[in-house]
This record gives sequence, structure tokens and C-alpha cells, in this order.
Amino acid sequence: MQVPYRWLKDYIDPGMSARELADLLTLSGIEVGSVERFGAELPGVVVGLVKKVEQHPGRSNLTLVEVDIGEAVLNVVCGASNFKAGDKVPFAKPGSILPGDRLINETKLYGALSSGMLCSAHELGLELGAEDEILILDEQAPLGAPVDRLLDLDEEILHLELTPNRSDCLGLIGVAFEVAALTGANVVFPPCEPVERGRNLKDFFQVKVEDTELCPRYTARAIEDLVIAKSPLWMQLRLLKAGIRPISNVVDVTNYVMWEYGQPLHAFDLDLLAAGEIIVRRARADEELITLDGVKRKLDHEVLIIADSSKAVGLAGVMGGKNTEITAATRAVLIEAAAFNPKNIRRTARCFTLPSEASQRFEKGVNHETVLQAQNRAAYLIGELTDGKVLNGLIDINSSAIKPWTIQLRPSRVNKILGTDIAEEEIMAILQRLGLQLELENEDQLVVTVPLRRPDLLIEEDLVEEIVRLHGYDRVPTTLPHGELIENRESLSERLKSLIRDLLVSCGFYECITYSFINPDILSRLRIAEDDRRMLLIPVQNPFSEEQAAMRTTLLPGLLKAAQHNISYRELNMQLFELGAVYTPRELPIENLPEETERLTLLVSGFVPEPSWVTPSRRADFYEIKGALEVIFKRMQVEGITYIDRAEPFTHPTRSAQLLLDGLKIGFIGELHPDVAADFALSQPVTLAEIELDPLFRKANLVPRVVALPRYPAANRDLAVVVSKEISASELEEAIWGAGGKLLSAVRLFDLYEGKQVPAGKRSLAYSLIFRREEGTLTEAEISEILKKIEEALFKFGATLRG
Amino acid sequence: MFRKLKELENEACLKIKDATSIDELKEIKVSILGKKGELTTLLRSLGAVDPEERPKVGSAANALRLELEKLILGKEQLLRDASLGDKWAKEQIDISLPGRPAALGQKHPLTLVNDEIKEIFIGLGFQVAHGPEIESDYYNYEALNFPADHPARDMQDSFYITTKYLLRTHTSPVQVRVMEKLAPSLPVRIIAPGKVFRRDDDATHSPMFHQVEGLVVDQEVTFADLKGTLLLFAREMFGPEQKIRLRPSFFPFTEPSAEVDISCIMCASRGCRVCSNTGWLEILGAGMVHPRVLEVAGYDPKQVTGYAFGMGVERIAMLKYGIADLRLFFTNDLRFLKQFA
Ligand SMILES: [Zn+2]
Repeated sequence: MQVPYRWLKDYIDPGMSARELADLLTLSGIEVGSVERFGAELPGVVVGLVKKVEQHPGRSNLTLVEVDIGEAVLNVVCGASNFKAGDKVPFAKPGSILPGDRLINETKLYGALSSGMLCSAHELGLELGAEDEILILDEQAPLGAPVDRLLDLDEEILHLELTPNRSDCLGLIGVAFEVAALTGANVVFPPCEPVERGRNLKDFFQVKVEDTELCPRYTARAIEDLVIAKSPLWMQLRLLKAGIRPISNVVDVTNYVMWEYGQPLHAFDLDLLAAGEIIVRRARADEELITLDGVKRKLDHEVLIIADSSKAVGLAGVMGGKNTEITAATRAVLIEAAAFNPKNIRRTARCFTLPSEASQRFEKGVNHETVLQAQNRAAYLIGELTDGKVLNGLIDINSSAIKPWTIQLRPSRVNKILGTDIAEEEIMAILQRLGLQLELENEDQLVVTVPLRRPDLLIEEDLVEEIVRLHGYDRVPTTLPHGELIENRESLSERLKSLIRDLLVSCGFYECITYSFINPDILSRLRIAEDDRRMLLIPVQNPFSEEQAAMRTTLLPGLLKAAQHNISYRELNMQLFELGAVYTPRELPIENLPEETERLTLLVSGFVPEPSWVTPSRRADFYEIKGALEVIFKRMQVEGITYIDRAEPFTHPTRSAQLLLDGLKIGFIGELHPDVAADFALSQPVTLAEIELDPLFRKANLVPRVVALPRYPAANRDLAVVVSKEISASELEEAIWGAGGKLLSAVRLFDLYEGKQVPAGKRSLAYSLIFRREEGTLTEAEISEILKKIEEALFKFGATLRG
Repeated sequence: MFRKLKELENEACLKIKDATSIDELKEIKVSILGKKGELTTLLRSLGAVDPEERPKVGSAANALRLELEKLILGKEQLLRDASLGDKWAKEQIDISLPGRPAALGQKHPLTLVNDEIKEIFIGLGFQVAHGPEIESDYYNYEALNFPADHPARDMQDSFYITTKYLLRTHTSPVQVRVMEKLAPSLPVRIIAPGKVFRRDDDATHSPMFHQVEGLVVDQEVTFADLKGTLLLFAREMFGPEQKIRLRPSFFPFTEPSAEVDISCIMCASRGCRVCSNTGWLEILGAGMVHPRVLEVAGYDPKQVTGYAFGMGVERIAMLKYGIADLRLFFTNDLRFLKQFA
């Protein structure tokens, strides 16, 4: 809502500057987003009187104009032709500066000296009239006066950012009431008693409201014998300042009054309404209407329309029809001021995507009481500004049942909610400043009567807000709540998530946060099969783009995008992870809340850690992620994790593992399939993992059991074997444990070698074994015996001892 | 006698200081502290001293012995190190080389801020609650006093899944879920962090962002308590000098409602571009829980009152870390993420 400050002052004098008022309003709940000067400064542009207009001797499209600016009479060459001798026009003297830093100089045009320029509104920075049309000023404009001052271009505009509850401030008079409450100044109403002349409207015209629920009040007045023309310059300027495009005198008046009262009005060409009748009714299913914007609209039974006896002539409260539009030919108008059902208007405006200043006001509900005042004010203004006759008689179909209502208010309750100590007198004074009527019913019991213009005040708490905002939020003390202690440690799963983050961070990983929606296409590009659970996507009904078309079932797309982004910026070395929810529908389309489960997704690529003079870096691969996951499993003491050789549709066929927990799949680790990597323009190998967290969390145990320290020293032996690559490391390790018996206490693979030193198809694995007995030291002979057993177990795999 | 001791001390100190080899130092040690050394000799003559003075002289002499021993030991270490000059030179390291890097990553800045917010409120006795990100219209709007087809819904443009389900536009539905679960027991004191979604996408809006909701319901919770809690939060988060300012506002689920500003941390309230020259920065919305919301969730608004607040985590992170572009949070650019390591 734009509030031109001088216009506001027609209704109230706040007794302060626009900026001071803006601060006051903002701190009391009507946020003023900005205060701006309306127009440009126009140094050197003054009021000139056109004395003489002559044809340019050389150019037929130019005229020579003699202009009197009081201090001098000057001659200029002009290209426009919409003015005549005797008109007052804005004249830019040589040396003046127009908007856009346009300097006006004395020039010669086709042999004629031009000492300045006659200005169009556009040249003064005003969106008025045609671009090449000289602005004609008021006859009374004083000769030589600065035009910027004359047109109030320095008027300050307050831009109100209204919350939806304060629709009362969608009109300047409503704003004036608010200013009155803040300053104590009085609201002055504009004149709204039209002089009635001629025949009586009711004698030849009637209004029928068929659906009073959708239209609780409808008023109409008619003006005859008028000429449609431009409205006076002052009104056009005021509308511009409000952000409204001036159109013609009648339409401008309806908009002007809407800005005053917050009550939208509509004007019909009276002669185009068939059979002297307006019918307010629901549209029929087969009905159509071409609205003012020229679009043909198909209507339905939910749409409230204004009709005459033969046709629809307007979408009630939203937009008028083309068939009864005010045109230059219009000689008589019917002015509608009505109240419509907010929800119905909202639906219609949404349905046809026709939000307008009018529908915005109807959606929030207009004041049923002031419908009439606005009607009369419009008739008054049209009567004043045109030659038209405001006809006798006013039609007012009023079925509105809304009356001022009362709220019980306990001053003690006010202070109890606020934690304040505001005296009853102050409370009463504040409510009175707001224009509310008070009655002291009992001790600590006020009955407050609320006028129709404040529909947001419904319950005691609403009044509490009014009281505290006028008392001053800054005057409320600051205290802390008191009360019982409650157990407030975070839940185990939250703590476990936190722990996972900490562990991964200490393994060198960076946390990412990516969008919870994905482009479903990315799953096909990951070659995920139609019957895969990850294809059970919950679609978003109204995404901006395909990128938000569905809720994610995997976090992989987000991390792949992050990898793409980083590689494209030459950040090639990365260890990334994300913890977040995926969404699994219980049915599609969903009828119940879907399941939201936590996933951990990791991605590595390039070399880690950052190479330094003292630490080498390695290619981040499968084992990088497996190692990080093992850290997590170990810290949570989750046992029962196994890995099986199985690829995902998008991973490398022989560099992928499925993770099982107690035999059930909880995720995977795998290098991205080279073809998929190429499709994603990933120029280097990328390894990914994704695991479900809930199964892990169910088994997690953060409390280690400590065993007593061994009293006898351990014996350490190394064992290296050469064995076929077909044999997996886990098979060998299992065999070692099996053969080692209870005296074997630890096995650690410390070297793995494939290459020239061992035969093709084989590899060498070197283990460090630790033997220990609880009670007593192991003898050399005992150790040799166990070692021998272990070796024999390995020989069964075709292993040979190395070196 | 004391004079003699003093003389001996001065002389011995000089000698020790001037010694140039370990052998010489050993000789000095013997000549003073040895069996026939000067101090030993002096002590033997203690018998001649007045019996009254004797203990004092004795302890002074002992103190001197200890002091000289320490001096000699220190000198000896100096002399030994000096004699090993070549060895040290060979073992010289370049202390200007960078240290061995620890391969640490870092949490996302939004997690860091979220964790800090949680820490502050847990410290104040709040529980942490969570709710679903795909929410029903009922919890996201209706139970929070946004009637169907009401303009208040335009304040937040939603992503819909079906007519009944949507991506939550705020964390406020958790208020209702928690109250429903706890009612009628008191107190309710929770924060609810999480992702929220709005149909906005430009330089200052992201279709997904993070909020932290707060809710306290008890027998005598006041607007002043809300103010106090938020002031404390602002000071913990942005520094002990912080001021807050509450401006009346509107949310369907609170009454009275407030927008809360903190004093601009960029310009110390003097006015700058970030605060549009107001000296204030809006960081959250708050208010007293609307009686209808309490009632719907199972509490009797005649018996209890409550306050609620909701803050944007991105907004706080941007202010705290001086981040100018919201989109940086979701591109996961390592050049950005590494600035928090
Ligand atoms: Zn600032």
C-alpha cells in the first residue's frame, strides 16, 4: 500500500515529518518498508504560457512557439502539436536538467533558434499521456513557478508492508485512523454528499441480488450526461503516486475512492446494460465473459458474476466485462460499490489468475458500513469533476448482518499475558484512542465494542496486542520463564547423528546439504530400474522446474551435483558426506504421511589428504569410504556387518560391495560406473556409498566394556603368504582365526603386494599376529605350534609361505 | 661470620661463572664444597660462634651450599652443550616448515549454527523435538489458525504433494504435534530445528531452508519472558552487547505477535547497507501462542499461556559469518566449506 504523504494529510495531520511517521508506524506494527520521494527534481523547468504557435518555415512537422515564462519571453521549436496558444505548459529553460541527466541547451533547429523546450509528462519522469504529448498544466498555474514544486513531485511516499490482518489500512482513511490512535490527532472525512439532479434511478433501474451470502451488500448510483475525458491533473498525479495508472475521469474516480476508503468500485456504461437491471448471481456452467483485459473466461457455478437481464457483465469483485466498459463514447455510468464474500473472490481471482487491487481488498473483506460512503464519495467526485448529473436515488441492497461486536477484556489478564504492570487507566485510554467504545461492566471487566473497520479484533488476546503495541513493545520488561525442570538431553538417534558427523569430520570429510527434491530424470541416468524401491517417488504437484519434481529417495543426486560443481571449479580432491532424510510413500498418491528415514551418503574423489611436504596423498577410493564406515561401526560397536560382491546399477561391476547388517542389506559402497561418470561429466573416478541409519542405530552401543589389562607380555609374529587372487582377504583371515585358537589375540594385515615379485594371478599378504595367554607367558614352542597350524590352514587355499 | 659467608658466596659465584671447562668447574666444586673446601672449613669453625647465633649461621651456610650446587650444575650443563656444538648443528631442524597437517574436514556451516542454537536452548532447559518434513495441511496450516482459503496463507507459498499434504513451510507444525502429545502435562519447553520449503527461488530465497522453532507453554508464561529469552539468545549468539527490538507483527498462530530485530552486527547500530541504515536486523518472528492453537492442541487457554518463536538458520549464519549469497549454502562448493575448517 503506497501512502502519498500530502494526500494522507487530507484526512489527518500527524504533526510530524513523513519519516518520523514511518518510524512510528513501523514500531507500532504497520511496517513502512521505505519512504521515497515521488518524482525527480526539475531544476530550470518552470510554468510557461504559450503565446503564439506558428508553423516552422522549413519543416512541416515542427512548430515555432513563443512562450512567456514571466521573467522573459522565449522562442522554441517544438515537435508536438497537442497544445494551443493560451495553454500553460512545463518549460525547460536552457541549462535545465531533466530526469536521466538530460541537459537542455539553446540550439538551432533547421535555421530557427530554440531557447529551451516544452516538456511532455514522460520527459518530466511521469507516466502520463503519450510520449510526444506536451503536458498541459492547470490554467491557474503561476507563470514562471518551478514545475516540480507545482506538481508536488517532492511528495514523499510511504510504502506500507501490511500484514494480512490489517486490511483496514488498505485505504488512506484507514491509515488515518491508525495515525489517530498513535498521535491523538483527529480524522477528517472528505465530502461525500453528491448533489442529486434529474430523474430517479429507482424509477427505471433495479438491482437483484440472488445470492446474498456471496454478496451481502450492493449499492448503485447513476450519473448521466457526462463526457468521458481525462481527470484533472492533480487527481492523475495522486493516482500515479499511489501506483495506479490514470485512465479517464470516471475510472480514475473509482480508483481514487478505492485508495481513500479501501473500497473497490466499478463503473459500467449504463446504456450498455440491458433492460435497466443488474443481477448479482452465480454463473451458469456454460457461460462465458470477455473481461476488460480482452480474455475470454469460461465461467462455472462457483463464480459470482454481475449480469444484466441478458448477459454477464463482470466477474464480481475481480474484473469487469468488456461489453460494458467505459469508453470515450460513454454518456452515462452506473457505479457499483458492493461487499462480496472474501473466500469466493479469492477463489475466482486465483482461478483466473487475476489478482488486482480490487480483488486483494475483497479477499480480505471490506467494511460493509463504508460501502455506502464510498459510493456517495464517488458520485460526489464525478459530479464535481464532470458535467454529469448524479441522478436522484440510490439503490442499496443490504442483507449484511454484521454489527459492531463486543469483547470482554480483563485488565488483569492483559498484564498476566504480558508480564507487565500497565494501569487500567492507560489500557482504557489506549482502547479509546483506537476508536473502540468501552464500558466498565464490573471491576476488572471491560466490555469493548469494536467497529466494523477492525475485523481483526475478535478475542481478548487481539486487544492485548493492541494495548501492548500502543503502550510500546520496548516498555515490556525482560524476564526469563520459570518452572519445573525437564529431562532435555537430545534423543539417542540425534546424538548418534552428531557422532557420525564428528567422526567423519575427523576422517577428513566435509558435510554437504543438498535439496530434498530431485529431478526424477537423474535416477534414470543412474540406470536405476523401474522396479527399484528408489523409483517410488513422491511427486511435487507444483514445482518450479523438473529439478524439484519429486522428493528424493536417495541422497546420491545431490552429492553427484556437488562433485560436478567442485570438479568444474578445479576442486578435484574431495571427501563429502550428507546426512538427511529420504521419503518413502506408503501408497501413491499419498494418503498418509510418508516414511522419512535418515540416510548417510558419502562421496570421495581425487587424492586425499591434501599432499604436503610431510604426508603423501593417495587416491581416494573404495577403501577410503570403507575405512570411514568402519570407524563409525567400531565406535558404535555395531557388529554383524558383512560385505558381499554386488554392484549397484550405477557402480563399477567389480569395485562395489553391498553392506549387510545381520544379513539384511543396509547400503552399498562402489565406484561410479565409468559410463555413468562420463554421462555426469565427471572426469575422474568417483566412489560413493549410501547406508540406512535406522538399522545401525538400533544396534548401536556407545558404552565400551573395559577388560582388565593383560598381566603377561604378548608375542608378536609376522606371517606372509602368496596366494591366488581368487581367494578373498576375508576368507584368509577367517582361516587364521579358526586355526589360531584362543591364544591368538589379534590379526592385522599390514602389507598387500601384487606384481613382479609374485607369480601372475597371485598376491602376497603379510599379517602381523599377536599371541597372548591370560595366565603366563607363552613359550617359543607353543607359538611355533600355533603358527604351524595357521600355516597349514592357509596351505589349504594353495598358499605358499613368502620369504 | 655472616660477613665471611657473604664474601665466600661472591667469590664462588664469580669463579663458577668464569669457568671455561668442565674440569675447571670440577676443581672449583672441590675447592669450595669438597671435604677440604672453603665452605666446609668455614662450617667447621662454627664451634667458635656464639651458641645463640650458631643455628642461624648454620642454616645460612647450608642455604649457600645448596645454591652453589645448583649454580655448578647449571654451569655444567651449559658447558656440556657447548662442547657438543657439531652434533647440534647436524641435528638442526627447520622450525619454519609447516606442521604435519591433520586431515580434518568440517561440518556444514548450517549444522554449526544449528548446533549452536540447540546448545543455547538446551542450556536454558529446552528439549529438542522433530517433526515430518512432508506435513499435512492440518498441522502446517489449519491447526495453526490459518483457515482454508485465507489470505494469511499467501504469506507462505507452498509446494504441494496432494491437496492434503505439502512440504512444510515452517517448523511451526511441530508445536502442535508436541503439544498434542504432551497435553495436558506441563511444562512444554521445546525447540524444533529442521528443513522447511517455500515456493521461492531467487538471490534471497531458496526453495529449501532451515528453521528453528521454539515453544514454551506453562502456567504463567508471559510476553516479558519471551523478550527475556530472545535477548539472552541474541547475546549468546552474537555477543554480550547485543540489544533486541520487538516490533508488532502478525502471525495467525500467535497473538500478540512480533518481529524481532537485533542491533546490527555489521555497523554496531550506526547504520549501514546491510541494515538499510536502520541499525537493526530482523532475525526472527515470535509471539504469544494463539489461544485457538492451544485449544486445538489440547490445552485450556484459560489455564495456560505460551510463547513461540521461529528463526531462519540461514539468516543467522549469513549474519554471523558475513555470507552475502544464500545460494552458497546449497552448492556445496569446497572453497566455501573449507572456510569453516
Ligand atoms: Zn548496519
